[in-house]
Order: sequence, then C-alpha cells, then structure tokens
Amino acid sequence: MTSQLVPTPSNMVSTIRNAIESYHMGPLRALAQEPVQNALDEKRASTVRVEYRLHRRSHSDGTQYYLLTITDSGTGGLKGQVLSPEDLDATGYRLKDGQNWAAFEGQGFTEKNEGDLGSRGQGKSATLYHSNPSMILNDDRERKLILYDTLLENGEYRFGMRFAQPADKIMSPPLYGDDARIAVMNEHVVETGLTVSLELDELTEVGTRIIIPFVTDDAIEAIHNGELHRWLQRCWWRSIQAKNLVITITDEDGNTQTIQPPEWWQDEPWTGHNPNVAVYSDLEIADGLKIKRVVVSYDPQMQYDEIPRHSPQYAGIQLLRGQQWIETINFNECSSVPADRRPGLRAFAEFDQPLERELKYAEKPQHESFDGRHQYVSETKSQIRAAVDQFAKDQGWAQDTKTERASRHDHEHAADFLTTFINPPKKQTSQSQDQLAIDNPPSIQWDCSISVQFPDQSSNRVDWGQLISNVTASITVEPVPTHRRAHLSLEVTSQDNGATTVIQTREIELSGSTHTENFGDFQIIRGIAHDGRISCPEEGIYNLNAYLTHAGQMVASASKRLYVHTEPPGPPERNSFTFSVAVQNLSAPGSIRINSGDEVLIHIAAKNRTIEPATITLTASLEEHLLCDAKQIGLPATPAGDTPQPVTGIEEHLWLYTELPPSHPGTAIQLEPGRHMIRADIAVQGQDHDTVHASRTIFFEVNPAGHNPDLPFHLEAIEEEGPHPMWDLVHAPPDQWTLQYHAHHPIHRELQDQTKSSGKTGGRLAFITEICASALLEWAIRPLQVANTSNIDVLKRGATNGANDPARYQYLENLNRLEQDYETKRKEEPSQYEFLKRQTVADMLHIFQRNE
Amino acid sequence: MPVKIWDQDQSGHLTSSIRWMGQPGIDAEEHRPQAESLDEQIDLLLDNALALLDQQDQGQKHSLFAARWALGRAIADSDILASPDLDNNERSDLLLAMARKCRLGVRHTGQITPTPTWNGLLPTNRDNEPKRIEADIFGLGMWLQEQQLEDAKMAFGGGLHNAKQIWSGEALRSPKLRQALTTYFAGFSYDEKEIIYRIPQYAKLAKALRQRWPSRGKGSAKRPVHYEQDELSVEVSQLLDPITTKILSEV
Repeated sequence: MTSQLVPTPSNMVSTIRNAIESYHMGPLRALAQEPVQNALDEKRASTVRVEYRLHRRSHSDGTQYYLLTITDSGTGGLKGQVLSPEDLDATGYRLKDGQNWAAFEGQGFTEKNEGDLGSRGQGKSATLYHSNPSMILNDDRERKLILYDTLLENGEYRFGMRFAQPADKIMSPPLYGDDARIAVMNEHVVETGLTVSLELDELTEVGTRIIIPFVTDDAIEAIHNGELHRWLQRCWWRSIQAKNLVITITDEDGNTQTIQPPEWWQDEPWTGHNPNVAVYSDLEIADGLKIKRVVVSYDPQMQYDEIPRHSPQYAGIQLLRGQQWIETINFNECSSVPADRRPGLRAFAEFDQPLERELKYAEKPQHESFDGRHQYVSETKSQIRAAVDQFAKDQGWAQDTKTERASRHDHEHAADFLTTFINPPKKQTSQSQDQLAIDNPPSIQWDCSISVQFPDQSSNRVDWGQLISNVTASITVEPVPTHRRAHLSLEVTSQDNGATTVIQTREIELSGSTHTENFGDFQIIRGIAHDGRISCPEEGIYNLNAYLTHAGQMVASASKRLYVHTEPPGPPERNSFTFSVAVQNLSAPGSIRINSGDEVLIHIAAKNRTIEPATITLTASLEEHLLCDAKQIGLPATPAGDTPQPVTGIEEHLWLYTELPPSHPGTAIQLEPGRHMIRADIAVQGQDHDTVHASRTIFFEVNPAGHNPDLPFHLEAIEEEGPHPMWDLVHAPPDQWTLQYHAHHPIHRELQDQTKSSGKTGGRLAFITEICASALLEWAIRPLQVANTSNIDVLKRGATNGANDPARYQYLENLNRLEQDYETKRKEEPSQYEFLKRQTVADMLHIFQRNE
Repeated sequence: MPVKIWDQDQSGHLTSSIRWMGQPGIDAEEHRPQAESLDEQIDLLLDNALALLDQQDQGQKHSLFAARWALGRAIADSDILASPDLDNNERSDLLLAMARKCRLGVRHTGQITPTPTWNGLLPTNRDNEPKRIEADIFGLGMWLQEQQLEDAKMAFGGGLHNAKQIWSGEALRSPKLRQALTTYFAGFSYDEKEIIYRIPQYAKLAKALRQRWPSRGKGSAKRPVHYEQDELSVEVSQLLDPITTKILSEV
C-alpha cells in the first residue's frame, strides 16, 4: 500500500494560529510546555527525558534551514491503533484510552477519560506553529508541517506526517518498520517541490520524536539566546527537581544544556532550617481541600529574573499543579509586600491531590491559567496571597491588618438593616389605620401574577401595531378576607423615563381563594392611548404592571416586561439552567442554627432560561438521606426577555435529631452535631455533560462562624490607616462571609458618631447602612457565577414577604433584572448593569428609611 | 482530656510532657495524674491490639493491613475516642500520644515493651509526626475495622495501599461499598484475585469508583450510602467488570 496525503476535516493553519495565539504567554511558552506535558502524560519510566535539538540542513538550492526535533523517552510512544480519517469518522471522533497515535493525528479530539485539557491537541499545534515551509517555497501561502516517528514497547516503528497547506492533511497510512526507519534517515518528499532533509538517526528507545522542519526565526533565536531554556525552566523546574523529568536543549553545533531548577529553589531550601525561607503547609480551602504548601523565599541580593514583555513568571507566586507551572499570582496582588522587596522575593504553591484534581478541572486548555469561575480557584488564590502577606508581616515589612469586631452599636444597626431584607417582619399595617388593619390583617397572604400572549410566543417583543393578547392577572389569597372587594389596576411604565400610564382599573369581587381577571387584548401603538390600545411612544423596555389594592392598601403586584420595537436579549450562553437550594428552620424562623428536634424545610427549585421547554433530573441528598433520586422535572420555556419562573423540585419537611426519638412527627433524620451538606445535582436531559451542582451547609447544634448566626455576614472594622477600600465582602467557604469596612476611611472619619436623629439614620450609621446594602447585593449576586440563585432568592422572598411598601415592588423587579441580566447585559453593557446595582442599593436604602 | 506525650532525648533517655486542652505548660502539668491514668489505658488498648492481631491474623508474620485493622478495632472497642468532650486539638494530642507509645514501645511504667512490641502496629521511621498523618493512620484503622478482617481483606486484597485508595474518596467510605467490593471480589478465582489486587491494577478500579462517585462537585449528590446493598452490588459489578476483564485479558 502506498501512502498519500489525505485531508482531515479542518483548516489546520487557522486552527493552529487560533490555538497558539490564544496563549497569553506566547508561542514559545507553548513550545516549552506542550510537548513535555504530552510526554509526561505517557510516562512509563521513573524519569521522562525530553530532548530539544536543533539541526542545520540545506535545501537543494543551497538555502539553509533548520529542523527542531523534540524527542521523548521513558514514555509509551504514540501507541494505539492507526485510524484513517474514515475510521475516525466512524468512531464519531471519540477515542479510547491509549489511542495516542489516532489522537495525535486527529485534531481537537481528546482521549476518553483524559479530561478536557486537550491532550495532544494543543501539543501538535504548539509544534506546527513553529514550522514555516513557505520560507523555502517563496510564496505567501501559509503552511505548517511536522513529521513524527515513534518506537513502541512492542518494537513497532512508525513514521507519520501532518501538512497544513492550509487545509489539513496527514499521511495515511503512516510508514511502518524499516520503511519508517529509512524515511527518517533520508530526504523526505512532502510534495512536489518540497523536500525535507531529515537525515536523522532512528529512535532506539521507546518514545516519540516530533520533527519541526523549516523552524521559524523566532524559535531559532529563542534557542540561540536561551529564551526557550528559560521557558522550560519556568514550566518544569519542580518536576525536574523531583527527578521525574530531564530536559536538554542541544543547538545545531552540538552544545547541550540541561535545564536545572532556578538557583533559589535548588536543594529544596524549604526542607531545612533557612531563615530566609518560610513554608505555610496544609492550608485548608473548603470541603477538606488543602494547599499542600506555600513556600516563600527572600534574598535582598536577588534581582528580578523575568522574560520581558510577558506577565510575571517568577515575580509572584508560581502555582504548580502536578509539578507543572500553570500561572503566577503577581506580588502586587499581595497588599503587604512593598514594591522595593519584590525583586528579591520568590514563591510557589503546591496542592494536595484532591485540590489538584479540582484545579485540573479549572485549568484552561492552554495550561497557563485557572478559570476563576471555578468554585475553588478564587479561594485558593486568596489563601495563597494571605500566606505571602503573612510572610511580609513576619519579615516586618508590613503590619497586620488590624481588624476588630465592629462596635455593638454598628452591629445592631447592621442587623436591623439586614433583617429588613433577609427576614422581614410579616406584612403589617400602620397603627393609624386601625380599621384597615382589621380588614386586612397581616395573616392574609396575597399573591398576584400576570400573563400575556405575545405575537411570537418565544419572545416578549411586540412591535407598534401588534397585539398583546389575553392579558390576565391571577390572584391568590389565603385566607379569604371578610371584606371581599378589591381593586385591580393595570399600568404601563417606561423603564427609560419612568413615565406611567394607567390602562384600566377594575373593582373585583373575591369569591374564593383564587381569582382570574382577564383584561383582554391590547394593541401597542405610538400615538395616544384609548380603549384597547396602549401607548408606548418610544422604542425600548416597558413594564406592564398589575397592582392589587384591598381595604385601601396595595397588597400584591405583578409585572411583565414588554420589549417595544426592541429585540430582547437572547438566552444566556452559560448557565442556561440555574437552581437554588434553601433551608428554612421552621421551628425557629430566621435562625440558621438548627437544634435537635427542629423542623426544617428544604426547598430546591430550578429555572430554565432558554426559549425551549426542558426536562431536568434532580438528585439531592442530605448526608445519608437521599432527598430525591433522578426526579424528572419539567421546566417551561422562558420567552426571550421574560423572567424565568422557578419550578419547585423538592419541598421536604424534615425533623433533625441527634438521637431519634421513639416517635416523631414526620421524616426524621439523625445527625451528628456539626456542619452537614445538602448536595444537589441537576442534569438537563439530552445534555448530560451539563450537570449543575450546588450544595448548602446546614449548621446542626453548632453556630456558624461569625457574630450573628442569623445574618448573611458579620461586620469587621479595619482599624488602621492606609489605602484600604471602603468595604470588602470576604468569603470563607462554605458559608462564612465577612463585611470588612475601613473605619479610617475619610468619609467614615468625617461623619459624626451619631445615633438616630428624629428616628432616622444619620452620621456613621448612614455609612454602615450604605455598605451593608452594597454588600448584601454582592452576597446575593456572587453565587450566580456558578448558576446558584440561592442567595438572590433569599432577597426575593424577603421582598415579597415584607411590609406592603410599593418601593419593594420596584426593588423586586430590579432583583429579577439583576438575576436575568447576569449572563447577558452584565457582560455586554457592564456600566448599565453596575447602574442597576446602584439603583437597587438606592431602593434598599429607601425601603429601610421608610421602615424606620 | 490531659494526655502524656512520651519522647526520647538525644542520648536516648525517655522524657514526657503533659498536654491539656491542646496546650503544654504548667496548667497541663497539674493534670499529670489523669494523663498517666490515660497512659495506662492506652497500654491496655495497644496490648489488646496485639492480642487481636495474633488471634485474627494467624501466621508467622503479620501483615501491615491486619495490624492496622487490629489497632482500629482495639481503639473502637476501648471507646477512648468516643468522648463528646474531646475537641480537635485534644484528639490530635491523644493520637500523637498513642503513636509515640507505639514507636518508642514505652509502657506507662516507663519500661520498654518486650518483643513483640507495639511498633509493628504503625508505619516506622516517621521522623516528623504531623498530626494530620497520625489522624489518617488511626482513622484508616478505625474505618477498616468496621468490617471483619476477612471481609476487609477480600475488599482490598489485604493491601493497605489499596484500602487507602478507596478511603481517599470521601464518598466511597460507606460500609455498603466495602461490602459490595467484598462480594464482587469473592466471585474471582485465587489466581485472578492475585492479579487484580496488585496495586497498579487495583488503582484502576479505585479510580473508576472515585469518578463514578465523586466526593464533591458534580455527581456527588448520590453516593454508595444511598443505594440498597443489592442495587449497589449490581452497580459496582457493572462499573468494574469491563476493567477487570481488561486487566485479566492483558496478562
């Protein structure tokens, strides 16, 4: 059988460019990193050897060019079945463990069970990128070429080739045995007019050799000036030090250098007594995950050792996963490290195995950074920064940030404020309205929703001249009040300018606990409104609001967004399905601590943000108690621009005990005192890879850390001068949040330490109010990053349970928008999203002041 | 709970200090009588462990696996760790005290135990004794003893390394899973088990189990503890069968 070049299904040159130019640290780091990583992935001996070697060659016309070979040994070679493009197609481009040859010849495939790091996909791109056959062909067409040979443990020898011109071609079938050996020892004809003088020795050890012909000038220069050596050292020093890896670079004249660990880490100075080196071990992150060690070293004589024009490599804390450098946290992120000490400072961090596994999931395909959206990344970095800050303080470079518990006065005020939004008193009337209070006692629970049919049922868009149909308000009330007459008002409000038009007001008679009021159809027009028409003179977003008034009080409202002559945002690309896990202590409402014998309500709800209905499966547990097992839940579609409706997956009452009593009221569970986890997995049917997970900690017979166990966070005052932000919300997973504020902030300092004046908040308490509002919103929004709406749902429940204040409806609407826009507008128009946050904070301050 | 920590100075002489509420010092020294009483209880515990080992693991040389199991069973029988008042620091001190006594072989009387000594109950040559490691050593033993020794040997091939691979997955620590493994491996011949129990081969099985039932994150809501025993055994067979078949076919 003769070999020929056959196309594979991609435009390789653009794929390579996209892959390698997405490396934040540039193509040379990719060249230093990827081939070695691929070799280590196939480690078979105690030490893997990787040799980078430059070879000088001449073209038939005398033009000089270079080959770069990257040869690994101590590995298993490119083993596994050779698959033709047809074979690959038949597998659905899914490969099994050990199909390394096929993975290397495919593009963008990952080996099964390899994780999502790209396996050899990035590796071949990193080598192809540095080849430029066009230098010989003297034309402008971009081409990339690599050749590769491998010796396997069973003695089989193979030789293959990939040529991107720019369409991607591989040599199929490859050459085997003596044919392959002969090929590497001679000239190889790639195509007419393009020949590579390989003239290499055959491989004698099991392993793989990648041959990059027509090496780019940048790569040659990097070998000549030592830059490639420096990248290799940065990426692999720890693995080299642990004797898992040996890397050599040999230039075209045969000069060989072996990559060594940097001098400051030679002989592992952290293992002995060394006053200039500190080790911080076993730093716990969450869920038992630990940073194995953070090592910090300082030598005042040392200077920066950085490759210029790139982000810090050694000038910060190197994060090493699997003894491989992934990224560096810049020392300037450590507030206690003065700038003049940074040149002599070095640091690195390593992780225990469970955390390594988590970080592997969080690693970007380029292996040069961790995705900050992963749940453990930010906390890991925060702990590492704290360790380095501690080092700086121990060296006397900085004082400890002096924090103190905020004053009792501030705490009480913060608790008042937070309770208003987290656990508000039930709806009540003012004392001056005695008769109304009798007619409408706080025990009556009202609810209202509004439904509208739009011209296109998958969108809330309506254009001028079009109809919105069947505008219907649905009311529920429990128990039914004695006074059965109520008023229902339908209004439209422009979100741009707040202009409001009353469309209709009706008196309704409540005959039972539910009532449906159909307002009929309306045409949306630009002109003057009259019967059956709603005027929306400008294109933009309008709210169609229904307000229910009973006994002179507004008791419920509902809103629907209209996008008039405006395209609503589409469904989010990420987090299309969100869910929340809530736990309520029914025996002690508002208390986070649960005592033995308490009844709790566990509520898990999900939302669908896509325009198609979906079915999800929910599995949830509380330690050994399975709450539900692959329960199927149908989620309605959410038209574009509409607010997704939560659908309850589980609502279970449980009684928790340290020891089960002989009889108990319902489902009872025995738990040890301590923290326990409710875990929930939601999988979208047909998209099993899209499982979303959330957990929530319950505190059984123990108090959560912090001062007030029933509030979302506690307050700490930073009692020192210096450039501290006005406030910061610090999260210590799983559930401890601290609001730190700067007590020496100029604004705080200038305000009087005044209590309430005329019943209103003033002075420093106003400062506390402002930062509590901002932090509470931050507490609600931050978990949305991982599709968890649990905290924002707490605020929403507070908004609907609270006193009958119209301002709460605006506040609720803003919370809905903040949630809905999180994956869309926050990214597309961040300033508008920030404005919405400020507006929501203003609503909160307004509500709080009115309640005072 | 005050505990007595034995040590050895540079010339090989035995020394001791008392720790109380996780701290050394004069206050702690005042509780020396209670600490010495506890020291005597630990003697009994360690003697029981050796007796259990002789009784359950009959042979000329005891395996590390059986020793760890026996130590765990002796601790469980003694209820020494069951006190609800034992906080984390005290627990660590107690484990350290037990570890020191094993390694130094020192009884409460200050005499060194005659052969066979207690030091065979623990891994040796541990220069530094971080508390975390002690907790793992004793924790693993107490976990192993939740099964009878023969069942535990069947589940892990009598290999401590194999047991640690399952123990390292928090979601895999349920006795139900160990029982399912015991049942699963009982279906293999002696020769097949010899192959499957080898550390690199067993590691493949442990990895598959950890991936199937992760301890945290996606897929961690339903764990082996939530299955009925029969249902779990079927699940384990379905998961491990392709791997064991492959392992055996490659020999």
